[in-house]
Amino acid sequence: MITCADLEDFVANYLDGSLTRPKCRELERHLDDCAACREFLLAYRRTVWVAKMAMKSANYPPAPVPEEFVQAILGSLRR
Amino acid sequence: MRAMMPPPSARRRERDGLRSTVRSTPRGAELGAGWQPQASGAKASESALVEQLRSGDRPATERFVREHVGWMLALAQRYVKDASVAEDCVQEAFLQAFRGIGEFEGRSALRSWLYRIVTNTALMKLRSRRCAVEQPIEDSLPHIGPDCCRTQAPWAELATPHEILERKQARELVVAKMMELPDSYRIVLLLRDIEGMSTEETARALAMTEGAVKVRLHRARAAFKMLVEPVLRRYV
Repeated sequence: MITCADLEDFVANYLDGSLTRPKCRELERHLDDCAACREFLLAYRRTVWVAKMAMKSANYPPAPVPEEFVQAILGSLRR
Repeated sequence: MRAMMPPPSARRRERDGLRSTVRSTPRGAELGAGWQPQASGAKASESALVEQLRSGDRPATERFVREHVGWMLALAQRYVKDASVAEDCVQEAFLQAFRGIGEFEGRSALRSWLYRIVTNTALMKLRSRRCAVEQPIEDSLPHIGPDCCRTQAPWAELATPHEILERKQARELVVAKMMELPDSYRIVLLLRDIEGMSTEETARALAMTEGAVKVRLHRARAAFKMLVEPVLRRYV
């Protein structure tokens, strides 16, 4: 019988598909019965997705780079 | 244009650094919003550019540096946070790239190749300052009571991903909160969830076991979820 605490241990394996089938079934039974864990898992998945999308759009277009830094790179390449 | 060669031990470290850390080609999505897969014409012009860089063509080198320095700096800063350390990473990455351009075989795009070099340089920098004391993450982890049950107060309804991401302020907050995570958690999250590396690749890059990567990834995601809860909900 899986508890909310156990779900914490198994959730990463569950999401990447590496949890054994019997454990998966146990975890899903717990999710059927536990609204708090269902909500947690939904928000957890959404967080991962939102992080990916937000980081992808961050820094685009990149901020202007100080000219002296560009010159420092060019200088070090010429050495 | 030839950079001064470092001593053999440094060359070995550098080579090993590259080979023992990030080896996989980043997926298109990880290469940033401006990335486009290469058409065959672009590939041919990239081969010509590589030849120019190999021969030390100064204008081509300058164009190349100016074209890539911005995104490389932004990428390095995600890992090392500090702007001046990020500049060091980028400068070092360009030096490594120009030292290694003779061995560039064109199996991946130049941008992907540079991406790996910057990521590895940033990871090496982080490794060298690993002794720094980190903020504990425990307060941001899910609350489980003594009866092994979740004790969080019920949250307001989740907003859809579209609702969240269409707000510039929300996107900025997500990025800012990511930077608040302690290094050892943020890096696992970046490599695994943002760069899309497998657990095995992440473990290799960070010299950790796969089990340790999974544990840290879950803790990082859970803590990050707690930090961004306000933007995930509809009441905001």
